[in-house]
Formats: sequence, structure tokens, C-alpha cells
Amino acid sequence: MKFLDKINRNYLSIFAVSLTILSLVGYFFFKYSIWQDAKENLHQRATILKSFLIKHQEEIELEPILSIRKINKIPKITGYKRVDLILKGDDEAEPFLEYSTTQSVADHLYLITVRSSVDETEDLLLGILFFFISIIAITFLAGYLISIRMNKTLWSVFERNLKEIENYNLSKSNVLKLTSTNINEFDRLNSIIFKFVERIQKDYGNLKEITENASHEMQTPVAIAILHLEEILQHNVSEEVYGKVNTTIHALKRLSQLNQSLILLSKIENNQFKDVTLVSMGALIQKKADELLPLMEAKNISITIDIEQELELNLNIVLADILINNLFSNAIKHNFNDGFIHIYVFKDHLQICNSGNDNNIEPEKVFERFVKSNSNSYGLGLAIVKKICEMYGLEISYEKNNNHCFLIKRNL
Amino acid sequence: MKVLIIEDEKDLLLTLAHYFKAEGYVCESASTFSQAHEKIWLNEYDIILLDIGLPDGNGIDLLKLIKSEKKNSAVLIISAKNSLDDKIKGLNIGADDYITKPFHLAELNARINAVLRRNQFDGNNVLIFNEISINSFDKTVKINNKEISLTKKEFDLLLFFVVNKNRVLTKENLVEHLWPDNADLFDSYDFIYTHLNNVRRKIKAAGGNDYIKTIYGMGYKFCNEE
Repeated sequence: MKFLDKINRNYLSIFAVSLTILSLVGYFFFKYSIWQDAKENLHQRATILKSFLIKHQEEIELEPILSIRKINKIPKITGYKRVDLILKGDDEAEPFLEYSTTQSVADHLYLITVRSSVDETEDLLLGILFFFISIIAITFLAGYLISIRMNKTLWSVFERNLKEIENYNLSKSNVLKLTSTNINEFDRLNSIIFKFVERIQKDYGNLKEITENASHEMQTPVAIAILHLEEILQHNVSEEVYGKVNTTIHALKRLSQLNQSLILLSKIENNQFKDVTLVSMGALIQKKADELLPLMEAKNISITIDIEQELELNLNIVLADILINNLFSNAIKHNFNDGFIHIYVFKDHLQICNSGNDNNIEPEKVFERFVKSNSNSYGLGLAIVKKICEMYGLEISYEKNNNHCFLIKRNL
Repeated sequence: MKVLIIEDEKDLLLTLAHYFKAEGYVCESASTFSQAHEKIWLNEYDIILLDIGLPDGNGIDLLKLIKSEKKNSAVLIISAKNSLDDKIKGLNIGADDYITKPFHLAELNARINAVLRRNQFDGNNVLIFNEISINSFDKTVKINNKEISLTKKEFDLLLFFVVNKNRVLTKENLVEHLWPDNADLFDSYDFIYTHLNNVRRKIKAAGGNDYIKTIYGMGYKFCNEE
């Protein structure tokens, strides 16, 4: 649930409860005071009638408002009571408040009854109640709307900053730009995040530098080791020694190549290939195919390149070269003798298919680092391919049925 | 030929110096930026091997100094960084070639030879070994003054052998020289045998001797002795 929704929801429930309570309290309070008023009124009238009675000693009948009647014995109930009377010419009973009292004048006992219609009083009460509820409701509603508007303006900067943080990519090493809000709490949060990110960025930069330097430094001792081992081979050595030394050289080379692939991967991640040009993929593929022909000939792999329409992509030329090289390498390396490679280039996608044995790799895992089907590869080539595609918003997918197919699609 | 090796790693420096002396070069070495700068200032070198990563300065700056002060020295950059950007940067400033660690001595030797040949202004681009003469400018090979036709790879192979004569070259050396970026793609290096045999066959057909000796189980050696 959104923070604002939560606040609003709380606001609304408080509003509902307090509206009910206030209305009820108001209703009963007004009801009480109106009744009290009506009672007092009747009582006053009765008092006037009493003094009239004492003076004139006559009966009056003014139904339903008042009546003075002679009675013989004191009635059981005097005082206030509510009655419903049907008036002449009226079908419905109307509610009245009745007050009766007795007065004896010259040995006669009179019953004084005064009545007042409370129909209007009830209406008034309902009116007041309605008015009351309306005022409260309007106040709350206005408050609610104002708060929503305020929230929107107040939180918009926060939302913007949030989006900025969301889109922030540590490896792209751009500066985090947070907008100042003039609200202490938010600004404090901003400055905390800013410092936090700054520190992380610095650490990350250091780490990157150390890793890259370390990776580069590693090449020198490997170079020394290989040079020395090669010198050993220059002397007359037995075939066994030769085999061992040669294997060691080969292993050292692998180490160095692995290292270089990792450096390349981190360089791509660090966005160190900035220049972008329009690259004709079909032409590039053709060029690569010529370059790699001896490799294919060595395995007797046949190749067909079918350029339906030239695919032009905005790429860094170095990365484009690596992309095609790695896909080609993959198609050659995981092919068998007398196999084939088919390449199709269309306006918005290209496909590289090759024959090859089943590799037991789940298709979705094929692009992950260090996933490999034979020990001769590093499991980084396709990870690099994927990384390059991601960088330029290209979609890459892998499919295997009898053959292995890679599809690169322009993301529309 | 006078060579200056600028390299901060002592062990690598010694190995290279030892190798170049054995190859008949006059060899001097420097392991720091300032030392190197002084030597370049005082002497004239045919070729300078320059490691980019020096402890007291950037090799690229040194390269700029070399190019502004001694224009005749060929410079070959030795770098731990295998990236095209660095390569282009180095070559743009005026380096003649760029080799990435780790490398084979045979490969370094071939590169140095190529750079030196290119840097010789008298147009003497011909390498002669007995009856074989190789013109690296025209990319032509003559046996007893009779031109033979070699493919580009065969030419490169022969040149590599001649430059690294008397040295045992493994199949891996050969493949890496011919396909520097993709050598690791080959499952086996045996196919190099076909290229090698073509070279041998063409030289023999033109009346030349077969100087490529197979050292069983190891590799090949280009040499005079029987």
C-alpha cells in the first residue's frame, strides 16, 4: 500500500468514526435542549393559564393547544407526556407534547392541559442534524482534498528523487542527482543517501581499480613464466619433459586469457566503450568468416551466409567485432567435424545456427558466466555476448533442437 | 643493432636481455621512467621495447618523449593490457607495434624484425637465408632467384621460421603467430602440418633445401645443419 493511501485510509476511518460520534452527540444534545425548551414553554403557558383561571374561573377548550376543565378527582398522571392526536380534517396522527397540571379555585378542581406540536421540533431536529453532518462532512472532505493536493506537491519531489535512486546504476558511475525539497526530513534523507552512495561509489571505484590493476599485473608473472618455460624447450629435453612444459605453458595461457576475458567483461560493465557507429552486421560477419575460414576448414565445417537485407546497428565497433567473433567462435568450437554453420541476416535480426552435440546446458543458462559444456572453454564468451547485447538494447535468445541457434533481435 | 629494454619487472628484463644478447643485439636496459629517459637522451637506439606500466611514470608519456626527441628509434610497446583502445592509442602516438603480455619470444622476435625492416629507410627489406630470399615489402619469396608463389599464411609461416632460425617452435607458436586472436579456437594444432608441407613442397619444387626440421613430439626448427 502506498504511503499516501495509508495516510488517507487512516484519515478516512478517523473521519467516519468521528463523524458518527459527533453527529450522535450533537443529535442528543440538541434533542435534549429543544425538548427542555419546549417543556419550559409549556410550563410557562400553564402558569399563565393558572393565573387566568384564578381570575376568571371558567373553562376553556381550545383543542388541541390548551384546555381548562373542571374535574372531580385528581388525575393519576400529571406532568409531561407525549401524545399522538388526530386532528380534524387530518388523517395522520401528529405528535404533541402535553403538560397537564391541576389547580383548585374556589373548591373546584381544574385540570389545565397545554399542548404543543412537536412535529416541527422533530423536523427541526432532523434539520439541525443534517446541517451538522453536512458541515462536518464538508470540513473533512475539504481537508482531505487539500491534504491530497498538498501531498502531491510535497511528495512529488520525493517521488522524483526516488525514481532517480531507482534508475541509479553504480557501474555507470554517473552522479546521483537528488532535488532539494525544503522539507527537513526529506532533505536529511537525501543527504544521507547521497553520502551513502558517494562512499559506495568511491569504494566501488577503488575496488574496480584494484581488480583491474591486479588483473593486469597478473599478466607480467605469467609472461615471465612462459618465457622461462619456452627457454627450457630450446634445450635438448626428453619428450616427457617437453610434454609437461608444453602443458604448463598452455595452462598459463589459459589463465591469462581467462583473465583478459574477465577484464573485458568488467570494462563493458563499466561502460568503457563509448564511441558508437553504425555497423553493418552482414558485412562484419562476412569479414569474420573470411578471417576464421582456416579454423572452419580445419574441422571441415561448411558455412553459408544468407544476407536477406543488411542489418545496421548502432554499436561500438570493437564490441561489435567481439560480439560476432564470440558467436562465431562458439559455433566453431561446439561444432563437430564435417558440421555446418548457417547465418541469416535480416533487416531487424540475425541468426547463427550450427550443428553440434547436445550440450546438456539449459537454454536459459547458456549466457551465464562460467557455464560451459567442455573443459576447453572458459564459459565467458557468451556472457560477454549477452552483456554487449544488453548494453545496446538488443535481444538475444538461444534455442536448441537438433542444431544450436542464436538469435539477435533489434529491440523495437 | 642496439636495443633498449624498458621494463620494471627485473626477471622479465633479464630474460629479454639475455635473449637479445644471444641473438646478437647490443642490449641496454632501464627499469624506471627516469632511468629510461636518461638513456634515451644520451644514446641512439634502433629499437626500444617499452613497458607501459612503469613505477614512476606512464609509459605513454615516455613514448611521447621518445617521439619528440629521437625520431629514428622504433618503439615496440609491451603491455599487460590487451585492449584495442590502448593499442590504437599507443600506435597513434607513434609506437611501431604493440605486443601483449604474455608473449612468446619467437613472436616478440618476429615483431621486432618486422618493425626494424619497416624502419629501415634504405629499402632493404630482403631477408636472405642461403638460397632463400624473402622480400617482406613485396611479400615475395625467391629460391635461387626464382620466384615461388606462396599464400599469405604460407609466406608468414616461412618468414616466421627464418626470423626465428635455430629455435624450436611449437605448433602452438606457429598457430598463434598466424591466427593471433583465435588460436584458442583450434581443438588441435595438427592442421598446421598441411600449411607447413605446402611451404616445404613449394621450396623443394623450386630446387631449394628443406630447412624445416621436425623435432619429433615437440615442434619444428628452421636450421642449416643436416
